[in-house]
Amino acid sequence: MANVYLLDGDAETALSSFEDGLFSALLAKKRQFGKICRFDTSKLPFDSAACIEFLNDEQNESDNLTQTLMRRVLPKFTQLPTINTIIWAGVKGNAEFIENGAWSGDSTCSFPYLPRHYSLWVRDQLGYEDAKLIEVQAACASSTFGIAIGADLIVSGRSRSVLIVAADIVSRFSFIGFSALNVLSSSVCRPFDVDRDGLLLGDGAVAVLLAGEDYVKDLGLTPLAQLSGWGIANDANHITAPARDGRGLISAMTQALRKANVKPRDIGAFCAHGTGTIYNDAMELTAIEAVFGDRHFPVFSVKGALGHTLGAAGGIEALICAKAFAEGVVPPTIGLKCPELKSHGRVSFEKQEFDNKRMMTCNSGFGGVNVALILEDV
Amino acid sequence: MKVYVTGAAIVKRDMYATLRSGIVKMNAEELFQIAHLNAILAKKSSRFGRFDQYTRIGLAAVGLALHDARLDTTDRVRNIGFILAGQYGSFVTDLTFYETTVDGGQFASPNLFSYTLPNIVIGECAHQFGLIGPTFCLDSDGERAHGALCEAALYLEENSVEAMLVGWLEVLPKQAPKGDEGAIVLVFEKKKNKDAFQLELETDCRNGMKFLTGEVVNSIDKLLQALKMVDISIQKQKNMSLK
Repeated sequence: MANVYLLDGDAETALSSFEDGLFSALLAKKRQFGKICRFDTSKLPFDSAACIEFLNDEQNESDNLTQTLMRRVLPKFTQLPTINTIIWAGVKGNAEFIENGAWSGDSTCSFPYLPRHYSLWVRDQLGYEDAKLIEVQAACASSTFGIAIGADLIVSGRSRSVLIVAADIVSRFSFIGFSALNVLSSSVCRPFDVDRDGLLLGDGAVAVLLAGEDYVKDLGLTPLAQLSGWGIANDANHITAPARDGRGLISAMTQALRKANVKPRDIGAFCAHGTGTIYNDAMELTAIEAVFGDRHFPVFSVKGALGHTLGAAGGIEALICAKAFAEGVVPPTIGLKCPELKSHGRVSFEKQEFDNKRMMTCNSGFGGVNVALILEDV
Repeated sequence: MKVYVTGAAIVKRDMYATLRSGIVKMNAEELFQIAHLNAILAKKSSRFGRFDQYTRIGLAAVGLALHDARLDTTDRVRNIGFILAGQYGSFVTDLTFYETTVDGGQFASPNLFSYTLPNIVIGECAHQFGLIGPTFCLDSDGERAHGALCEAALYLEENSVEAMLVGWLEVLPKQAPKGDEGAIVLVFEKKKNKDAFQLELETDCRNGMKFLTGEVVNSIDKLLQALKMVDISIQKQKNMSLK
């Protein structure tokens, strides 16, 4: 199988940008949640999220907030010789058009949402006119799916380079929706904690460049990591609740291990989806135990610091894994106070060293989707 | 490697068609009165009443296509994947959900919010038919569902995947430009299926799938043409009795 590399990437979160010290901020146990000012939450039982401060100030007339956020992660990718495929993996970019009334019955808005709005816009901004466009939707695992699909494109020889881009803001649409589902935390997001009570949303954007060996050599760059395995599976259980036995995630993890031709013991650390909801985290711990047995090794979640950035989450987490190789440690699970029994010896509120150069990162989402990636240090 | 199209379904507002049935005039709202679709829902789902139109049409098309291939038993899970193309996704449901967020969002519908993602219909199909393979929405530029067909071809070449569904699903909001609406679902198997019609194809890692003539399958419409669904079904056209 041809080698696939995570060649470069950039991300934006409320805590920091990838370039400006996101990893350091995680090691320093910072988090960035506050009362939402973007829309009225006075009639809702929840009011907290990780919104990027002053993002509105950067907004120009033709862009919405999602595009404004994306403008922060795209500049790094404007000077490449070419990009063969652009994959858009944002989840609810259309919400801003709905919120602005562009689709209401009496709208006279001349710029309503149209399909492929964001993928076309990204291509336009970057100037790679010949790049093929793909839009992927796999709920909160979308950018991770985008990475897996991008890897397929490279291995099959259909693309030499694939840019996966995703952005989701804390929109009124999504916030009210998650509030109605009663899955938001009313206090602090505490992944894998016995007292966890839900997730917190966050603004997030990510761009990840995948490339094959020839492309990497042509550019003469050192990749951030090698992507050696990936797997995708469905729970076939429920549209919003994960299978309690973790069967879909176990299958995705097992496929990724098989593709990377490694054993569970070869994985040095695990970046979990870790939303802080009761059922997601319990399911993940069950799946980890099923695949890794009783082995103690570092497991962590960053959502207690960044919030859940929906479609962008998995891509951001893949970049954090790549950075962990360089730093030799994985970040603490921020928000954690009293770990779940099954997470003892794995999840920690301190940074953790890991003993080899291979990590697994996983995401799951509505619709029963699960995806696992294996990244290797290069 | 060789792959076989063993089932196909088209669902429109006023008709459906499969390889076995040909065109059948029927309002899409009545599709779940067809015995095998009704039996599936009666057996496992208590959520049918909650489905939005997008989910109902998509689930009906998957049920019809799997029945065409005689793969619609629901008593076990199978490593079958589903890749779905389409441009607007759940947009109509998104608009409906947003209408419930007036009054500060305190009365917003959690059920409608659950259906405001394009891949939820896949989740419902996975639950109904035990599909545990790779499932996601993938839309690409170029011809209809070409990207989804290419990706499905790669999965079919993997040992663990038993079959793949490739579909296209579109329900347009009323303000959208006029366009095609409805659902198309095809079943691709890796082995010949003695119980089903089959169109033989070859996978091609660079181009997705090819006909045996070497012509690239660059859209789902090309396959429908090759399956002669229109020609066959005109001869078989009939009105469905709902008794």
